[in-house]
Amino acid sequence: MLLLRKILFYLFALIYLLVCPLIILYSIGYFFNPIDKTSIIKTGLIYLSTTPPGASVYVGNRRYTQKTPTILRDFLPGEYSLRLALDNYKPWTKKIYVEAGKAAVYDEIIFLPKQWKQKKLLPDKFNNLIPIPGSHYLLLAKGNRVEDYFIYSCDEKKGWPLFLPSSSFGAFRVLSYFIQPLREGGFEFAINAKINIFFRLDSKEGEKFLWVEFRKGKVRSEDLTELFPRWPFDVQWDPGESNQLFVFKNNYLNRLDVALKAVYPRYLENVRGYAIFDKAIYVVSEDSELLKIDYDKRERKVLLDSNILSRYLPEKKNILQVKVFPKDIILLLGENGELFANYFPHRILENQVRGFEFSSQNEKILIWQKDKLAVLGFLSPENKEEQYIEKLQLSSIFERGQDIEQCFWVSNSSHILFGDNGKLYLLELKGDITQNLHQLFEIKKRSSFLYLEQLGKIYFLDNSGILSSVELIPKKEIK
Amino acid sequence: MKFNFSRTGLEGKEKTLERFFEIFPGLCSWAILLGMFALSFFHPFLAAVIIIAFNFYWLLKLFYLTFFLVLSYSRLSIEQETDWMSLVGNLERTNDVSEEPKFRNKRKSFKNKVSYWLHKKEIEAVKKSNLTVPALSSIYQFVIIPVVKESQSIVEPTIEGLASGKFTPKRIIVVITQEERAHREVKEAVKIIQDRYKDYFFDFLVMTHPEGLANEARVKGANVSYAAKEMAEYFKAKNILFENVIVSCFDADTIVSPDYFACLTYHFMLSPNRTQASFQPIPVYNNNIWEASGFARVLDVGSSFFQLIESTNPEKLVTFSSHSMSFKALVDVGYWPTDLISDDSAIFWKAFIHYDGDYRVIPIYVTVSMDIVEGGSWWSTIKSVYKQKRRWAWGVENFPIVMRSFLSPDNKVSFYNRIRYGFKLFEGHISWATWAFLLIVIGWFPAFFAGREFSNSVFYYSAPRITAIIFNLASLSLFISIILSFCLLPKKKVRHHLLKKIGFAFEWLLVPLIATFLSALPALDAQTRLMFGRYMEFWVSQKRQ
Repeated sequence: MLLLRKILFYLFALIYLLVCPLIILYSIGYFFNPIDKTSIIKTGLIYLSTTPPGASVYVGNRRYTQKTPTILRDFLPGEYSLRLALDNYKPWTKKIYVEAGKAAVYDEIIFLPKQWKQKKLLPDKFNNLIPIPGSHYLLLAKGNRVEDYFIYSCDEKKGWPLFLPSSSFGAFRVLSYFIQPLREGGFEFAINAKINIFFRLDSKEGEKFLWVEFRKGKVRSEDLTELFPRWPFDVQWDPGESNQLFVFKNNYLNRLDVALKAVYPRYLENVRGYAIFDKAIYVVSEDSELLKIDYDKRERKVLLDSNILSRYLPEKKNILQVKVFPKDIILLLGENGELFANYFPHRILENQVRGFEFSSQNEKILIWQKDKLAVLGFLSPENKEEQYIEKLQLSSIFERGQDIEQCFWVSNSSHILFGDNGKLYLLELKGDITQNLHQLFEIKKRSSFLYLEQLGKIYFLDNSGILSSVELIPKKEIK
Repeated sequence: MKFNFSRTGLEGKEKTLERFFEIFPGLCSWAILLGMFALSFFHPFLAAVIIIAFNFYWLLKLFYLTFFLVLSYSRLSIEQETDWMSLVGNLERTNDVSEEPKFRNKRKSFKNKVSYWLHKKEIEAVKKSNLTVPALSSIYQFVIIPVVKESQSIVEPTIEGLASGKFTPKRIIVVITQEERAHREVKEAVKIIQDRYKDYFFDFLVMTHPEGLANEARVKGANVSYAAKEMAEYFKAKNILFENVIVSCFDADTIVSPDYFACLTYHFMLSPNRTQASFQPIPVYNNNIWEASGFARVLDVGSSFFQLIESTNPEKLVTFSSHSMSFKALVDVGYWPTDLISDDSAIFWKAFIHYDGDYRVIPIYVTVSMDIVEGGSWWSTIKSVYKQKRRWAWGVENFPIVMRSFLSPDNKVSFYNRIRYGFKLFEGHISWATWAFLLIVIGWFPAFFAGREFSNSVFYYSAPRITAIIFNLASLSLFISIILSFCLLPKKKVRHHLLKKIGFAFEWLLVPLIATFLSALPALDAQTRLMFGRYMEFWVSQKRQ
């Protein structure tokens, strides 16, 4: 037995010493050179994952037996022509470059169907579709009267009139409205979300201001006209505390308590722009100071002092829209579309900024102008001295637009869905680098659309005004 | 070598050395675990390479151990057919091997032939060496059973097992040694058992170990040593030579195989240096195996497997749990330690050091069956199992004492053996505490912490695949373990439902969790306690009621 043990021990030791290095070299990417069998070369691999999965893989002229998601190994460094094919979907092609020891990762490939299956959701025709940001609801308008407005739940697949025909407000004309984006939550939150809309109406008695609350199919409205002597520039509220409204007029903020019907006039003065976020008021003062103030005005923090901000902001009379994002990024949008930020380099874009969308996956902000798309994010410090200075970097990703009105991040921020001049497009991204651009289909011009990542669907009005949806990402593939 | 095998009463350099070696195992275990964790965070690529190398090493070692497990089990299976008393008779009759030993089933099966071949070689070797073989009539079996709070239902089957073996009980002296602090019910039960069985044996004695004796901790070793010392006087009074007495120290729930003493006697008679040897049976946990919780069953079967494997390497075998040894050796080394919990392994080291390395453990392929820990409820059982394994792992307390002896200038054990034994003791405890964590937990950290640079590498995608292949290959060993676990199960008269047996097989899928939380974690716990000088008190395992 002892002899047997010794023999086996040395045998296994030998196996280990010989095989273990081979395993490690293989796992790093070393492989026998197919041309010169005696030499070892470092190879790369390709990782592919598609939505939907199960696509056939072609590299050059060779078809692989594996289907996506898959890992293809032992590629010599160089350029390859990659083609993925899936029944009923348009093929996906790309020239890819494989580096030695590296993985070429394509893990968010979306297949586009050859024929889009549009599903009609409501029989009526509408003029406009207004997404309620952060929720799974849409506001739909047939006309410009209150009774023409409907609210649609994408989860419950049901629509409700925002006002009953018997409502006294029904015949009033809608002049404008404010909708506050809800904070993003899970599916449960979406169904139970409380939607608040603030309407400015035209009636025989003059202007009316209506506060509407919608929740689980029930509408409640409140006439706040007596609290608003004149139409404000802006009204905002925190979705978690919708009884407290902040009304911006001229250069001051009023605070309204809807429940108590109380007004706190001139609650904050010398205001040039403001935002309500996470139960705090972010204010740009007329002295070009960026402040964070709690509701009770007990805590006041200077986020950016006037010495810095005044160098970049335009003339003082220009009202600013303030948007607060996670990671403490605050954007200021001027009346002419100029964009500023609270981080260096502060002045981001000169003009024509139409909107922005934050991505929690890559913690970047998508910004669109009339003809351009760009991504704003923190720059990694390149050298040690700069590690304490947070910098924002703007990367341009698309510049061939015509009239870009809306954008959404898609599939863990790997794609951008945008509407341009009545057409929807899907832009692939790899990091901040643009890959392929796909035209999807046409929607009703001048109307908005909504993409919900949790449902993988696009909601839009077709050319005839019918509310429709298409599935961009099959539900079971949503991660 | 004269050496005080104890950690108490040390001063100066010895005390420093003792603390150093108490800290060393725990420090190494934690250094390995935390080091790999930190490496996974700061250098995930290197950590992943090390983990793959370790996983492959583990796989090869698993195959290596499984091979010997199968060999050892085969030997156990073969020896179950052996008529040991017949072999004893062969030895006695001046080693005449012309007469074939008898086998139980009267047929010459393959197992019988192998057994005959093995033992024929052994007996022929004895014949050639002109070794004086003691007469069977001169050999006494001395059995000590310590009792603290075990009930009659636990102790009585043990005594019954002693009385019903192949070896004549009239050559067996049984001593139940109870603690003074034991409850009245326990003492009464012991009395009942004595009255019931005393006529079966050569003698049946009950001793009471007094509380609070000097230089004693509340450990089993103190109890059994007290009894052994008393019995030394007994043997002297009866003119029984210590050289002819084989002492077996069993737990209160130990039920020996009917062949145990016959097999033990055979090996005792066969051994050239029988008074410098211990005899280690294969522990199994069959007393309540059908009723015990699945995870406890898997763990204890794993312990049996470990002993089966260890028995194939007698050169480095260390005593564990219930075992036997020469009473002379026990007296020479000063009996069991009275201040250490792990008396079962400590006695081997004590003897090894005393005899300057000229002491060995002889594996005997016969089983002793014990209880699997049970705690009533599921959670209570987990706690009990955890505590038992921690107590087993507390065998690490021997390491500093052994190392001190090895470093002593008076030590005459060869340098090579000191390195071998010292390393095996150290490596055994370190691997016990760390391997499961490395395999099951830390192995996934590099991928978890992988930064962008690493996550874009070929290695990032290859490593999980290679790890999966390794674990799939390891499942072959698991499959063999499942089969052997069924082979080790007792042949019950009551037939169990097939579904129950299938359930037993599926329990082995819990091995990753069990190995981590009920084996490695208690071992790490024990080493950490030793590291911080928090010495453990003896805790009696909860068994069946």
